[in-house]
Amino acid sequence: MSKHSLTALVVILVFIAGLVAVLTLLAPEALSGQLPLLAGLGAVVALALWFTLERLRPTPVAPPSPEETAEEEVATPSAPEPPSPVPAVQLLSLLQRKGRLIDFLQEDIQAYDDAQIGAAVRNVHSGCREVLDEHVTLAPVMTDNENSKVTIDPGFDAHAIRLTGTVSGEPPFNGVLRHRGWRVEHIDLPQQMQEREDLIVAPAEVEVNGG
Amino acid sequence: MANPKYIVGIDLGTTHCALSYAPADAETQEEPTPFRIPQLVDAGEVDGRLLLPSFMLLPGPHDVPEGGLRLPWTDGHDYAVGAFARERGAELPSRLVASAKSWLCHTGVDRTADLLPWEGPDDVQKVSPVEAARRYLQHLRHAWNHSMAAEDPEARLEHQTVLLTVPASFDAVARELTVRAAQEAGLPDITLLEEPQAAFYAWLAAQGDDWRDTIEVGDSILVCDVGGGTTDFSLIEVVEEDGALDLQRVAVGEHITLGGDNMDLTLAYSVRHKLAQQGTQLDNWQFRALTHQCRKAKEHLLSDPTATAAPVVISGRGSSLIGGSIRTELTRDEIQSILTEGFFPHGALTDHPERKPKVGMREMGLPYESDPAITRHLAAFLHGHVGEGRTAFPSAVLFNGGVMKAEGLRTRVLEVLQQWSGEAEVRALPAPDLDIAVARGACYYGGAREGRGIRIRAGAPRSYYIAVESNMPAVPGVPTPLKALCVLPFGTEEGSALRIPEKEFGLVVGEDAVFTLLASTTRTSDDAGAIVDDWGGEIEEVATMEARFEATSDEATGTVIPVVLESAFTEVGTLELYCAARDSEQRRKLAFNIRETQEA
Repeated sequence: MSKHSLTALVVILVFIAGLVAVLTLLAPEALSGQLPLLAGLGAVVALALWFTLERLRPTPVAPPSPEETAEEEVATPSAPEPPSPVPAVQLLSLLQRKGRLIDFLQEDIQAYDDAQIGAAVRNVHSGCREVLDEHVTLAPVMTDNENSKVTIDPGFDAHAIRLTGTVSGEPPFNGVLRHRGWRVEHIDLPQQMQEREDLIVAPAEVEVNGG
Repeated sequence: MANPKYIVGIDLGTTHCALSYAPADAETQEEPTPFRIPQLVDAGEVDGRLLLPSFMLLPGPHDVPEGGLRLPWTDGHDYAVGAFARERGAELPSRLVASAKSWLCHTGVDRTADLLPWEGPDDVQKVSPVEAARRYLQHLRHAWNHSMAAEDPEARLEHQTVLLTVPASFDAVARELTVRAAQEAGLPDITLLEEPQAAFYAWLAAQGDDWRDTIEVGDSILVCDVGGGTTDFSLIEVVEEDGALDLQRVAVGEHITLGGDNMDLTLAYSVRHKLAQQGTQLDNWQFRALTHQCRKAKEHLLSDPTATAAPVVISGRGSSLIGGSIRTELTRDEIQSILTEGFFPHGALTDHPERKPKVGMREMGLPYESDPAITRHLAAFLHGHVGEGRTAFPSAVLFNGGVMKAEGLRTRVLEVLQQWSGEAEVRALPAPDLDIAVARGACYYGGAREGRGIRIRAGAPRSYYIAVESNMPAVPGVPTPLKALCVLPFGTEEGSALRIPEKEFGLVVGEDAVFTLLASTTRTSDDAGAIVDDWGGEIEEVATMEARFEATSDEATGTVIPVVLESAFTEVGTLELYCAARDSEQRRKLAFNIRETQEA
């Protein structure tokens, strides 16, 4: 596995860890209202990020190490390049700028009570939601209502539909739709006017008063 | 521009600009397409947005990373406009130009002087309100040409039919300065359109052919346009002309520098006060975040009548988001007392805006209204225009502007109008998307001018006068009473020219002749050439105008030649005045003396 895929995985794991931590903390009876909010936020953001990274990975074939790439690029143009971290950093940067998502996930939330976290999450949610609305078009993979009966026809795409439970024989399969899934229909990130290699998600802020 | 490909409507707003376009050669009115305006959204990041915030950042050498102001079409600007300018400028307030449009119609300053940012530090290269408008328009032109005309020079914005909207309350000088800004931005051929009319055209566009079923002869429609920085009223009458419905704009209001930004700030001040009483002090950064949160809370409470409170959370400034956050809330009662009662109070139709000085609404050099009650400004507007023998009291309202998106406020304005109206019902016309309606409506108007759709008969939005001295013996200590000679009646159609032979002036060759231009929005029935003695505050000075006849071979300097005035209301929508020699072909255009207005 390349360094970049590893980065991707780590980032996603951080998301999921954050999500699980939050969900565990917010006991349903204490803050049941926040649960769907959080679940939606976490799932949508994690999926959006995953899809972006997935899209950026040109092929599942293990890419050559970065040292080799420079020379081999000319010789074998078909060799896959390692994915650029830039779009992933850009998306993280947008989520941080509008929704303070990185601050939120990086903060140790054990010290706070549910009401404090719930209050903060509102801003995180609305900011991240704004980013998604602006830059990412999402659609469910299956449009049927969740918990309704569905039939999966032969030739279905196993990437898009995951079967669980007792699966035997050949399709069509009858089952119950548990999660509609998400599909990115379109990602439209702002155009970067200069090549950035610094991987800055959010700049440090220094308030200067006078000279 | 022999064959424009597009009709383009540009809304050059106080807080946002928008642009919509439609094909020029269509058989029928096409739904205008909003243009996504590429702009800096962060240093070095460009994205297309429907709105271009009318903000300009004039950064110092350390404020933006190198190359951070680069745009797809240029490397060279030392300023930024749009979303990034607004966001970054909030952190560098002394380098931010905001509300340039309100400065463009501020008669108390020289509008061509480099005075923005107001009270900015000395090392900032300041710009004039006209220059700010030019830069917004130039950004729109470059953005359009980059996106729409990269491979087709004929599609460039300067070759299209461009309609530019201005507040109905813009006076002759502000209109002329807007046209100048457009010309300097590389848009030599534009036509002005009043924003409330544009909003009405947007409504017509949304109605399609059904509009005749929605309104009827005798209806008087109030356009109530409350935007981010200004409030603008107009009245449009539905009349019958040759058996068909016709629309006529019969009144426009005065310029009211009062809008949504004032409301959000007032809410934020009130919450800051509440927090201070609990011992929490906010710094400037937190206060800005608070203003933003107050706007959201306001929108939530005003759109959901069942909500009793909306949380206001200021996130921690450092990377500790939760630990540093400040939590409070805005209650419905607060919104009700601060916004609804503060800005839209009930009152009588005879109430007038209070003229007492008020501080704290905004710390800036603009002449904000001393009375924040929009309903009292509305009362004054209606009081001046409706009644026996004049326009009928409004039977319908069309809302426009970001503030009027709030259902609670629309309801309040309707209640107030209903109370004034008495028996007769006042209804609201369904408004289309209020943020981009003006640009869309301007686009529709472009089509209507080509004969595709109904056109509102409007013409000059004011009556214009030239001050003349009375033929009275001078009395020491008493200023010679002035009379007003009407040179352009209210409603004069675009493209008309008038000659005023009633009054001759003696013009000294080789010297500047100075005239004082006056205007009235309420005296709508004075004819050209009429001389008004006593106007009881209904006529106000706009600016002085100058012309000079240079000495020719047969006239020595100092010769007095008799002249009469000629006036025109141009197709563009601007006022022009000329001195025409009575006995020869000589004719000179009067130019606005903008610098003189400082003393006015």
